[in-house]
Order: sequence, then structure tokens, then C-alpha cells
Amino acid sequence: MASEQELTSVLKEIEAAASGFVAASLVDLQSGMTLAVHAAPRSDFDLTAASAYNSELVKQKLKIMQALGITGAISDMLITLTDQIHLIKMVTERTFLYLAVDSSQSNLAIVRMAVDRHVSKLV
Amino acid sequence: MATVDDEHGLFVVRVIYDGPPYSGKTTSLVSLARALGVDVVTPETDVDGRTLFFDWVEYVGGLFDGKRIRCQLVSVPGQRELGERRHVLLAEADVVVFVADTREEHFGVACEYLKELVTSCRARVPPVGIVVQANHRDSSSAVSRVTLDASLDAIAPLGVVESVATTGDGVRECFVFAIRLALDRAKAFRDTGLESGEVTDSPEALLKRLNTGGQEQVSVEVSEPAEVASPAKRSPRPVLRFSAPERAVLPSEADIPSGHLWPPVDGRIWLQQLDCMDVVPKKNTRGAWSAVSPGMRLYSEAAALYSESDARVVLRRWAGQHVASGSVLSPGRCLFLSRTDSGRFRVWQFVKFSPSYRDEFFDVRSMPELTTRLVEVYALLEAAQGSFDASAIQMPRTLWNVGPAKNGTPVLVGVARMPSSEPRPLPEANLSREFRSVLLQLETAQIGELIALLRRESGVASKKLLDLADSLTLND
Repeated sequence: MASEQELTSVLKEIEAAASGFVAASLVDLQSGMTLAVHAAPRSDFDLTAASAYNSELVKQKLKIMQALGITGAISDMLITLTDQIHLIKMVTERTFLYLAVDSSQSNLAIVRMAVDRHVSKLV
Repeated sequence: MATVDDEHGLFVVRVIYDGPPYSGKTTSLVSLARALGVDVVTPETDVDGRTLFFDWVEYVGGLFDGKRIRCQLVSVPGQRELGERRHVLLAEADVVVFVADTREEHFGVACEYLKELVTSCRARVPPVGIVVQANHRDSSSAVSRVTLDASLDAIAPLGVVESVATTGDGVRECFVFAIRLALDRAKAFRDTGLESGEVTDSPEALLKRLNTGGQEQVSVEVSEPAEVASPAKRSPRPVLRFSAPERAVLPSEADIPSGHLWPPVDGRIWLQQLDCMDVVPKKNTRGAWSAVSPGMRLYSEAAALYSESDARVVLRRWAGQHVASGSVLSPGRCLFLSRTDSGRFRVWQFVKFSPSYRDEFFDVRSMPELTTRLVEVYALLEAAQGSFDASAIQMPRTLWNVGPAKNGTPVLVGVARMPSSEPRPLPEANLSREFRSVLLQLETAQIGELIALLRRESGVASKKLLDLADSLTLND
């Protein structure tokens, strides 16, 4: 795996590419612990808690897929809130990128593009 | 030991940072604390800044059973004379991060420390996981990754993360790996009904405990394991004309819940290695599934398909047989369940490769060397018959299935049969038949040479082999 400094650097590149960036983290799926974090200055977003609870979200989705006999893998999960967009992008089977942006300054296409361009460097 | 902080709704795990003096334990915690945005508490240091009691970092993150995880990270003092404090701290570990100085001049000491740690962690119930933080990787005298892996493999299957503690590289990754192992142990606690006692909950309380030198007895109640019932008798099913063929899809290690894997800690590490290989099991004509990859084998019997509850019963029973037969089994074995498309569960066996005596005989270069080895092995196997027969593990006793352990004693190295309510009788272990098949591989001139060499030997094994070799020449 890339070093923590390298991972944080990639998250900063994602910040630069995603307008309205709020916060991003690389998360270990099993434990919900963060491997790297980066938040916009003056952001009060509790990234640690968000990352942990989102790991539960991914695990629940995997359980649903198993119950339904769906054999594919999750590529990403996009959640549109009234004022934010949250993207969960699987990086490996064990880790995912979690990204939150302000939807008034961004859109789904920008978010996806910003992530797709850089996510391979998080492995 | 893992506990629940009911007042705050947190799950508490203790991560101990262990290692020889100057390996980088304190530096690791300081780097990690900086990255996590928390403080380090160090009650006391000596004039050189060395930890006298411990360093303490507390961090809340992650999720387990719906509760946030309160991680207590504690480093031990490295000085030998403070060993008693180290033992008190290690006794409360849910997982250990072993910080190893991998510079060539210090690596040997690190390995010796680690061996001792592995022994004590494995003696705990359930065993305590260890992850190795291979530190000082930026040093020009750091041992190569190949040397590092080989040396650690010789000790035990261990997760390894390379680090440079001064810059923080690898430290956080290692910490997260450790938390995963700690959670596995917590699940094992939960599933087996063990109860943990109270542990010291703050740096102040821990310091007080170490200062008094008293050891609060942490009581652990071990409940009797539930009686392992036979799998429910399956009533005959109607033949399904159009059932889809089963696919053998191996689960990723990360997806295997506890209760579906034995042993819980080492097994997870081996299966993580399996995840990195492109292993695709194939079904043979008898319906069994198998796969072979460098250094390992996977196997599942045709009939090893059950409901989830029955599969777990079978797994537990088989694991019990493995534990009871540990002294006659090669190391590096694990059992796990995988869910099939039909919703049933298949029981798998993972066996790390260990050479058999039959493999050895093929590698021998000269007749005198082969003769000596044949005599030695014959004698060893005759002496080991009793132990093998007493073992609960069902495995045909052939020269392909028996090999030398590291200490030279014979162990079973092959694939074991699953426990069954109606055990099939094994083919009778017949040393003469097994060695005869080895001698049949030799050319006539080689048999002649073997006979000449055996006539110079004395001993029961030599005599039996001589009789066997003679019988082959009479049959020509």
C-alpha cells in the first residue's frame, strides 16, 4: 500500500479536482478505521465517524447482495443529500474511498470524474 | 481484554506496542498520535527519554457491533530490567504490534524477542494476534524484504507492514491491521462465551497498578464448550432434474465471519495470502474440489456441503480433532466455510505445503545417502505408528502423506478426511507396502547396490529393508 503521506496527497488532488470538496478518507472496510483523511479547512465534518458508519453501509449492501444472490461487486455508491453529495468508491475488496462535497458547488459528473482520475493511486 | 464501555456506548480494545529496546515503539506512537490528532501520555521517562512505564494513546474510531471502537494504544518499556511491567501490559493485550528493528545488526535480537512473544500470545485463550511493524526500513543496513519474510515465516505466519516510524510511513496502516486482528479476537470471545474481566481504563489507573506491583487477578471464566452434536440427519431429497451446477467460489478473507474459520487468527492471515493468488478450485470426477498453488493446497470433499448451522458444527468438530492431534500434524492448516449459490455451505481445508518422505527420496542424489535415509525413516515411522493410530485425524498413512517436522519427527502432511458420524476405515498402514513402492522405482543395478549397503548396516529397520529388497530380486 502507498504510504500515508502519499495517500493524503492523493486525497488533496481529489480536493483540487472536485469543486465544493468537504472531506475525503480512505477507509478499511472491516474495522471502519481510516487509513488516510483530508478535510477542507474550517470544515466541522466528523470524518472519523462518517467513515466508520459508512463502512457499515457498505457491509449491509454486501449482505443484501448476498441475500439476493447477486454475484457482482460494488463499484461505487452515490448518495445525494439536500446539500451534499457523498460518494463511496471501492478501491480494493478491503478499502473504499469516501468523499463528501457541497452539492451547490458541484454535481455528480464532477464528483465521479474527480474520483476516477485519482482512485488508482490509492491502492 | 476487549470490553464494552456501557456508559459511553463504546467498544474498548487494547493494542500493545512491544519490541526490543530502541526498536521505535515510542516513536511509532508519537507519529501515530500526530496523524490521528490525539495526545501521547508518558508518565515517566529516564534521563535519556526512554519509557519507564508506558506510553498511552487513546483514539475513538471505526465500528464494531454497532459501537464505536475506543482504541487504547500502549507501548511497553523495552529495557530487560523492566520485564515485569512488560508482562503485566502484555497480559491485557487484544492484539500486539511488534515493532522490529530490521537493521541487520539488530534484526537477530528482534527475531528472538518475537519468538518468545509468539509463544506467549498463542498460549492465551483465544490466542492474541500479532502484526509485525518492520521498522527502520529507510536505513541502508535494513535487511532485504526477502530476508525479512523468510525469517518471519520461520517463526510463525504473521502479517508484516514495513515502516519508518520517524516519518510515520506504514505506522497507521499497521495500526489498522492490528485493529482488524483485535476485532477478530473480540468476535471469538463473543462466539465462544468467554467473559473478560475488568481492565485498567486510564493511564492513571494503569500507572497506579504498575507502581504498586500488584497484579489484579483478571478472572476469565471459561465456559464448557457446547456439546458438538452430529449434523442433523439429512432425509433423502428428491432428485432435482434441472439444478444448476455448483460453482466453487472462494470467499475473500475479509468476508469470512468468525465461526466460519479456524484457527481464527492464523487462518485469516493465510487466507489473506490466498486472496493474493489466482486460485480457482476444480471439481474432480468424484465430486471433490481441489486447488494447488505454490506452497499450499485447498481441498473439499464431495459430501462437504451443509446448511450453515450444520457446517459450523462440522467445522468445530474437525477443528477439535486438529487441536487434539497437533503433535502429529504438519503446521499451516486451516478450515473455513464458503457459501455456495444454493445457499448451503461448503467446508474447505487449507494445507500449507510440507515435504513428504516420498518427496525427499526423489531428491536424494546418491545410493549411500538414499540407503541411510530409508533406514532412518523406516525406524522413525515404526516408532511413530502408535501416535498416528491414536490420533483422531483420519488420513491414509502413506509415504506421500507423512513427512519430517522441523525437529525431525514424522508428522502427517497430507489432506485430512472430514469427521463423519460413520468413519470410513482407513487402508491399513503398511510400511512394507509403502517402502516396496519406493524400491520399485529403482533400477536393478541400484537395488543391487542398496542390498550391498544394507548388508553393512545393523538394526531392525535395515534388516526389514534388506528382506524387502531381497524379495524384489527374487521376484525378478
